[in-house]
This record gives sequence, C-alpha cells and structure tokens, in this order.
Amino acid sequence: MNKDYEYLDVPRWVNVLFILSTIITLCVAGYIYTGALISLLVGVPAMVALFFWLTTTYHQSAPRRIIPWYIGAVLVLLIQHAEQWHFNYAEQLKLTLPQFFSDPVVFNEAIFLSIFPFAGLALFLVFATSFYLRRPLGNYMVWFVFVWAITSGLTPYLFTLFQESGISYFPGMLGGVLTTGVGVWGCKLLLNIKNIVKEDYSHA
Amino acid sequence: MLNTNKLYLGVAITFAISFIVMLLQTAGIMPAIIIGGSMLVGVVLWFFTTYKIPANPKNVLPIYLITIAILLLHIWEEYLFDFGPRIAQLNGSTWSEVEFLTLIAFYLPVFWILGAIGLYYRHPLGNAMIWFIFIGMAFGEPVHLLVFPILDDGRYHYFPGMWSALFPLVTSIWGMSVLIKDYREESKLQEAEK
Repeated sequence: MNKDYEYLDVPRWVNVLFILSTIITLCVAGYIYTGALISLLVGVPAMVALFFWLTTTYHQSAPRRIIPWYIGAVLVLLIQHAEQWHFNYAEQLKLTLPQFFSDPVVFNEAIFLSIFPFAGLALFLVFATSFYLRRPLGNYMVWFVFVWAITSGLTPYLFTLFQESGISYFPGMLGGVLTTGVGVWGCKLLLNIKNIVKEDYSHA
Repeated sequence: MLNTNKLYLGVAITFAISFIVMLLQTAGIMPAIIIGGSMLVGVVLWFFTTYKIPANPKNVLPIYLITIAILLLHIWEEYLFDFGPRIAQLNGSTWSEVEFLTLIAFYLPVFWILGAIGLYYRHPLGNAMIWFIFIGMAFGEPVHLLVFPILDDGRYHYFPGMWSALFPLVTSIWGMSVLIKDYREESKLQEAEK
C-alpha cells in the first residue's frame, strides 16, 4: 500500500471550522434548553479563546510546559464548582437574574453539575491529552480553559451586583479568586509564547 | 532521597487508610472494600515498580488523563441514577446523594487531578495515584456488572453506573501495561549503567 494513503492529513483551517461549528451548535442548544445567560457565559469566552488562539498558537503549538498550568486550571475549576454546588449556585443565579430563566428554560442543580463539573471537566481532560500530543484542537482548548477560568472566576462578582439583598456573597466567589489567578497566569504564559515565536520569525 | 521516598510511602499509606475509614463511616463496608482494597493494592504495586523509578510521563500521562475523563463521565452516570442511595440500600448504610457527590465527585477528583500534575513532574505521589486509579478501574468497575445488579434484588437488571463502567477498564489496563513495560526498560537501563 502506498504510504501517502495511510494518513489523513487534516488542513489546519478545518479545525477552525470545527471549533466554530461546535461553538455555534452548543450556544444554540444552550439558549434553547438553559437560556441566554448560560449560553453567553460559555459562548463569549469560547469566541475570545478562538481569537487568541488564531493570533498565537494556531500555527505553532505551545510548549508542553504549559500542561501543569492547564491541569491546574482544571483543578481550581473543580474546587470552584464544589463551592458553587455546596452553596446552591443554580438556585441563587435564578433568584438573582430571573428574567433569563423563564419557561421553558430549565436550569437546576442537576443541569449545573452535568454541564460544568462532569461533562465540562471531562472534556477539558480529554483535550489535555490532545494538547500534550500537540494537536491544534488541544491548543485551542488551552486558550479556552484559561479564558473560561477567568470568566468563571469573575462572574460571581458580577452577579452579586444584581442581588436584591445588595452586594453579598455569591456562590463561587472564593474559588473564583483561584480560577482567575490561574487563568490570568495561563494567558500571560501563552501571550509570552507568542512573543517568543515572533522573535523566532524575525530572526529567521 | 531514600528518606523522602519513605515519607511519600507513609503519606500514601496514611491517605489510603484515612480514606477507607471515611468510606466505612459513610458508604459502608462494600465500597470501602472495593475502593480501599484498590488503593492498598495500588500502593503495593507502586512500591514494587514506579516508587523508586517514577514513570516517564511521555507515554502514560495521556492515558491517565483520558482515564480520569472517562471516570468523571462514569461518576456522572452514577449521580444521575442515584448510585449513592442505591448503594446505601444494599449496605444498610446512610450514604446520601450529597455525601456521594462530596466524596466521589469533588473530594477524590482533586487528588486524581493533582496526581496528573505529579506524574508530569515524575513525583512519587503522582505515581502512587496513577496506580490507585488504574487498579481501582481494573478491579472495581466490573463490580457494576458482576455484583451490584445481582445483590440489589436478586434479579439481573440495570444498576447506576453500569453503562459506563467498563470503559475506564480499557484505558487502565492499557496504562498498566505501559507502566510495567516502561519500568522494565528503565530498570534494565539503570542496571546496565551500573
């Protein structure tokens, strides 16, 4: 058998189309089933991550030394989700912003747990492998996880501004400090990699 | 170095024993035997393999990460179908859904994920965790198909976690074969260097 036929060479831009299709599909599904707020919460960071990925690690994979920070981001997200679950995040969010959760939208503890700590973190861990093997989708997911960690960390502070009881504790605030810290540090590492790559090209 | 390694051995044994006690007090004897037994067998296998020569993450880290991902999906299935309370019925314990989620969905995964970071840095405790996970999946998960459904009410039927129980078994057996192969090669290299 000719060796040329043994591998399917996927052009890089196919990954971009795949990511865009996934983001759009998930946002539409999120909008229908869990409402506009949850859809925006995930969709906006996903698009921001896409932008940063395209302008940094799209052409050249980030080095593997990012992986402990990536796994660290997954770890602090798990800790924040534990806090959110313990303090009834889903119900608190519905009480704070009821206009986003009117019928037929359903958002409760089971849906929160299913989307974020279970399916979400499992997906992140699978893509950690993809990144470890230096695949384009893994590189996108590294950006997404860091941007998502920042979003997940800051939104409880945003939501508390809308609470009827005034500014007070909102589930996820404590863990949010950790996720924001790791997310910002991860983004900084990736942006520095972009500069290193630029220098490499300018010296070439 | 040897003293530090002994300290890590102590930490791993203490962690396993304290977790078994915690399981006994909440989930009952059966989960304590399955999970605790896996932990102790994992510690023994770790001691005889990657305790002295930590595994090279290059080959085994991706398999470990996939295993944890599949395991999270498995726990999701268990949660959706009330695994905790059903096990409590079998055991005569009081394991509630909240206790199940706290222990299995949040507390333990923190250590599994820390294990991945430890494995990346070739830390002995990361290697202990990987053995615990692989042994736990290989011997603990088939129980969902072989034991729980029969014990439940005497007839064979669906038990929470059943549909996703065998998938982490695949990656864990794969992972253990890689660990052992790499360990043997590394041992031979070290002996040749002597």
